Amino acid sequence: MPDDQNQPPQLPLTGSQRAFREAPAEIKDIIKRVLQEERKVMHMQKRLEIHATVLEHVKRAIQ
Amino acid sequence: MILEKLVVENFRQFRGRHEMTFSTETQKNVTVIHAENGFGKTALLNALLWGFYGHPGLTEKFEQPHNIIHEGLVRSPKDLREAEARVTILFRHSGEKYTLSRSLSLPQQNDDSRKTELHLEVQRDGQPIDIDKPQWAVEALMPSGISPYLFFDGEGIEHLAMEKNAGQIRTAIYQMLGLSLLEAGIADLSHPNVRGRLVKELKDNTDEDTVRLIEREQKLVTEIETLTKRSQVCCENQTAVAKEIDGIDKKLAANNEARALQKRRQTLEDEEKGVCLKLRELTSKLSACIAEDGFTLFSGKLVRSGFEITQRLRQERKMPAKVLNIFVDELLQTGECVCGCPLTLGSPARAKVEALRTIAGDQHFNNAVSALDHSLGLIDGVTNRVRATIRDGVNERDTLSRRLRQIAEEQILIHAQLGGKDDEEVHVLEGEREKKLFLQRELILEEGRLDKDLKDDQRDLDIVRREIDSSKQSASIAAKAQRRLKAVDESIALLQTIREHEMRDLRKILNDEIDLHFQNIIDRAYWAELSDDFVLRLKKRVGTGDFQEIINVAKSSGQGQITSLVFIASLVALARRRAAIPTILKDLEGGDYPMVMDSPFGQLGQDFQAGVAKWIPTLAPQVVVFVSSSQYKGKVEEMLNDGRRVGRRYMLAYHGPTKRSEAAASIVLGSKQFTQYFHCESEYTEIREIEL
Repeated sequence: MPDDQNQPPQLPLTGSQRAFREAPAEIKDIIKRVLQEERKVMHMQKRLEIHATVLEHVKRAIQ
Repeated sequence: MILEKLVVENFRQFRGRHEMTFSTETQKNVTVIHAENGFGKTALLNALLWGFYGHPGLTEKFEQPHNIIHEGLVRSPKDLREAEARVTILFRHSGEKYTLSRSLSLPQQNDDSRKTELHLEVQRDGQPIDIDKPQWAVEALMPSGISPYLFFDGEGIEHLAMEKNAGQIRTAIYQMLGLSLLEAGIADLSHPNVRGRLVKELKDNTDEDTVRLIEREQKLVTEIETLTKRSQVCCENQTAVAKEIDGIDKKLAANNEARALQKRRQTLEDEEKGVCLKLRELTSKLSACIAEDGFTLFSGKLVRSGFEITQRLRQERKMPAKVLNIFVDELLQTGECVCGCPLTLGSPARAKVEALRTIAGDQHFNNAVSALDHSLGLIDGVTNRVRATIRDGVNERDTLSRRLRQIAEEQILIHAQLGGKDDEEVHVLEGEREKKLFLQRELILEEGRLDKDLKDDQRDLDIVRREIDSSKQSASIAAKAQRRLKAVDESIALLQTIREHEMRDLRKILNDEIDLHFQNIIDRAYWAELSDDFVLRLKKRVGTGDFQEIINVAKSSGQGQITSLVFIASLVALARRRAAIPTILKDLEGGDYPMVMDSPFGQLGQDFQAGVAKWIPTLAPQVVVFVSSSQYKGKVEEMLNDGRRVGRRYMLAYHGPTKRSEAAASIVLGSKQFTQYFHCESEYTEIREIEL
């Protein structure tokens, strides 16, 4: 049996996955980090530090 | 989340301690609470909401929301320490057991009833563990934004299916299916402390031209914010005015002098809505027809001349070619004719075959001629169809417009007749109604103007931002700030694109789900659909054979209620299997949510009631239904009992000096009669379990 038959079938990429894959690396990096940060605080009413953290991520990604 | 138990203590009319255990069995997932109007349904629904979210969770229908503690205790507390309201909710979520308890003491209620004590503990390895920041934990388990779709008054739910509430539908989808994370990401990047800081860095270090662009950008941002706020206020005002008109209409309908005319006016307004809907459909159908095939109307001359050319070439036997180039070349190359005659160089036979080259044609040319013939024939057919569609459409539009004018004239007449009535109340109401209608028209016009200004400003802002991104920066600090700004703008744009893609994919699945649920209730030629602009529409197919088309249907209150219920049920079903739906967003586990509904059968006719009752157990993994005896008897009782899906049953027993006239003092369930009203000088409600 060929090797590829042992692999689970690959689902076609969704539109959003394609759009993300085609983006420049630094944009992907910024988005990943922003969403990671947002996930931590999205249910909180006061989120004072999120914007400073996001700005830092942007500055680190674009030197 | 699956609810296991609710304990209410001194919460509104529930004096003392009362508890209720919800049915958690998969096959018997419905808990029915029998209660008459005024016996405490709204209070019980709000007890759950207060437990989870405190004061901000209470519904609009819950009057005097600052008075949480039982009135009797507030008036004469025996012991101040005991005078407190408490709601305890036991529930399961993602395999873990939680106990939530919210309380409010009398001194705290007198000071500020919004400040409550909340405790949340989870059982881990048999040990209760206190959760730090319990309100955040509750928000993470069941965001407050989705609570209006899980705990609701069934009679008021039809508003979701109204066009003006598309924003609520959008929010519900975003909240329940995890897309609000993308929204939050966009908001974070656009925030003055992120994007704004980078703009400032650029402005402080750049040339005058760029400074001017930045100032223009900031001015546009401020204008857009102002316009957006004004637009929101305008929409809120429209809703308020519509409610006021509705209130006046109800009063007129209740007045003997005005009843008949008001009823006629209501009929006309319903018809007007339907005609306007048809007109909109027709206009978009005509626009689509003209945009797609309208060119055919202007290509008649071209088509005719094409026909003439092809006809002439046929007559001259120039097309289609009888012999193909490729065939002649092959014969000459092989040196033998198909008849077996040798085609040696200089032979007469070879000369004859070579002469065929003058009339031989190309295969592609032959194919093109066939395609051209076919297309010319098609264009001719399409032209006739377009002409007929436009002619019929224009005729229908004239008929509809005429009908609209007739309706308007009759409405003016009704207004004049009502305004001329001697009855003072009718006279005043009619005058008030006219003023409100005028205001409503003004607000609609204002909304249109604001919408146009917003679009213009947004377009200008996009242009200015592109100019800022592409301006040349000589200073290195400015160049860096510009690169960062550009990256932020690109990240925002990509997040927006991702959001659109995700929503498009979800909408398709959601529509399949909506269709499935809808067909379970309504056995008619209708189906419900969520449009691209987040409006829940009811559709049907009209016509036969090739002349079928799909049209929007104006919804009755009952249909609106069902459409809204179906939407919520579909959303709950999708949330449940969210993890299996392909998405770019990781860790969207999905989850079970209960549905708690007050009077879901309220405005429905008998047919719809039966459909909803039959389908209710499949709405969500757990369903809690509040129902009055008048809504329950008949089809609802039959359907709920037939399905054997009711796991637990309670009633609210009301003690008080009087009861509402429509409230039944007792209820008959199966073969047993249960008293649900008890005359008493003080007022309170008890929760009693019913076993049939």
